[in-house]
Amino acid sequence: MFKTVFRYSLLTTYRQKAVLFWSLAFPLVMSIFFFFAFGNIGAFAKFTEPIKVAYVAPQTRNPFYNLRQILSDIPMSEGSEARLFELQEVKEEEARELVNTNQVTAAVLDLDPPVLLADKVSIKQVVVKQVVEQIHATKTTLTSLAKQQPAAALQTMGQGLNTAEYTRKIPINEGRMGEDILYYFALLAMVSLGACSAGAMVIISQQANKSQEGARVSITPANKWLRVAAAGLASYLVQLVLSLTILAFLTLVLKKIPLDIVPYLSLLISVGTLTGFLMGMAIACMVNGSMNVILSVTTSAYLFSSFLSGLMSHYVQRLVDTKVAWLSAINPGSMMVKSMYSMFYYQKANHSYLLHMLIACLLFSILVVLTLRRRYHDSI
Amino acid sequence: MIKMNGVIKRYGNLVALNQFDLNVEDGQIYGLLGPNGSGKSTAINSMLALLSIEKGEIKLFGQRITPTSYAIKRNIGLVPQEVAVLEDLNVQENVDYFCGLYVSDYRERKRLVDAAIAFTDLDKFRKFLPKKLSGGLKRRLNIACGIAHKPSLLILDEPTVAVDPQSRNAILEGIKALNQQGTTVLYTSHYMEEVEQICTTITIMDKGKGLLTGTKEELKASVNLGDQVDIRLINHKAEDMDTIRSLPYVVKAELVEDHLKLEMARGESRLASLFHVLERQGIGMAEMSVRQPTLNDVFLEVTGKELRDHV
Repeated sequence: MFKTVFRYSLLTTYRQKAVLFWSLAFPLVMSIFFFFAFGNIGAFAKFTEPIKVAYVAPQTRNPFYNLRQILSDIPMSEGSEARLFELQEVKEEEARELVNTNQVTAAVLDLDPPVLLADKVSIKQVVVKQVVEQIHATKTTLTSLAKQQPAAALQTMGQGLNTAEYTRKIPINEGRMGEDILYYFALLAMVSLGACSAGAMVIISQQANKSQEGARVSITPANKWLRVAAAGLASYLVQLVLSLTILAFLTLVLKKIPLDIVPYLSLLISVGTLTGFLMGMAIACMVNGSMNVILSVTTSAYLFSSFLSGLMSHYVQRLVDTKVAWLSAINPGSMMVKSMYSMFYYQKANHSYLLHMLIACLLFSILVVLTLRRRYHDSI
Repeated sequence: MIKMNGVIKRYGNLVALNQFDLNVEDGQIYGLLGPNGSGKSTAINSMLALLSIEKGEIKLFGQRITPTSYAIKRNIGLVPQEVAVLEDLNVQENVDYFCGLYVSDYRERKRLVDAAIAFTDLDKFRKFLPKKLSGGLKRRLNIACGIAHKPSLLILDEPTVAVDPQSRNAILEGIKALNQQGTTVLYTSHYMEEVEQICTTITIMDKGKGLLTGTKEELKASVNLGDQVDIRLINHKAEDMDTIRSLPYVVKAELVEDHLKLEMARGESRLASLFHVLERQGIGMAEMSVRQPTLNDVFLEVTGKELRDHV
């Protein structure tokens, strides 16, 4: 019976067009889009003249973080002596005056978060905004990660973060990873967590009060735990293979992932996919309703988790990390994202996030077992 | 084979089964009739241990059934009201999947699957996905998935809903054939003529209660329904109706244009007596039909004629 359920669950999962689209085709298309859209991110070669920027210093300076220095050190293009920004340190009133009279492209107020003053929007203002935001995002992420891995953070800071590299690449990775790798990490994280829909479908297909098929298999002599285990294993394996296919595509075709981090990344994807999968199973067990209701709740939870972890906006990640850190700590999306980002920012992988994901898996499994133990389905 | 004694099942304040009794014997095709919401599906779900019951006793094959009564479940086949198959598996895979939950041996399963597909005449559609099948074919697939493992008890919950007459006839013939091979069948339906055609014993239920049980002849005899007589009259006068209505065996009489519509108490020689009265009054008869009460009449008499499913 285990073999029968396993075999046919494999067949049904991989034959579902929605699964193949959202877990394979869509991420592949997105990765190709990222490849072309962000392939030369950080290259400012088109500017021949430096961008004039007014800089308003903070009242107290942070010894580990000097925004003025970082901005001043950014080269016009890779290896160029010329600098991208021509900085002018002034008082705030003077900065506003300079912006209003168009003597500078923009003014940067070195606050937390930094404030940008601009009178109009053109490509130059956009460049200043992107660079300042990126620097701040990196600073926030490093601060958050440093709480988990202080030793590595100190090492990183010791290697000189107050340079233009802050916005380009992390010295400890010796330039092996471009900053665009963060987009690919985000993509892999989203695909892994996206397994929650497959997890929900396993419960829907096996529980009598969730679907007609579930009612039908529930009156067979096949043990419920065996059925759920077989269907779950098959569906998880399909999701894992799809996620690893995307990793292989990014590594071997687009050559965006260094080969030496692939084993650990594969482990992260395996555990992340399992976390998402079990999250979907737990949600499906607890929600009483039709298949559409269950899938809607699961998708909402997935999107909310991704949103809070900053997969849709770095700003949200910063906000959650600083204002509601506990939410970030229990969010499977954040665990996945941070475990991957830490590979970019630090030489060593951060095992604490992996451990958090395994604990989340355990908790979701307990929820599934406790809910599935119900022997009757009075909501039929 | 199935015994339900004094079963009570509530959904909140709604009593779905109210002291419900059912006794299905070996070898029967047992019809469970009832309007929508009468408790038929609740009775089936309760006897399959999908629902918990508040009171009473349910025994299948002489044993109490629980969700883990795998030995009992091995002998049961269910054809649910909705087509419950996997949309991403083709006909053969679907039948093999459900059969595989009962039968582990590959060769034995292959034989059973082929037999079920042949029995439901789905041979030509083995490789078809359910979405490519017509409504009737889907219903047949639904049945094939329920019978492939050769159950000794087969429960069919309205298997012919939205099926064309040819497919319906094929399904009914198939059920009779299964019964002849030794399968006991519990059959629920709205369609009285189907139940009348195949069932040996029938229970009419409503509001969670069994109202009448017996063979179709016993059911017809147990309610006070007469023959329906329709006569087209020639040369009749309005006052003739008073004479006809005064006859002791005429339950109801009305004249619709030239047609005299009568409901007559059952009994021998009553038609002859009626003809004699008409002749004496000088009334001629152009044509006549007599219809005996059907199961449908019994059903409406027992469950009432008010519409169900109202909001």
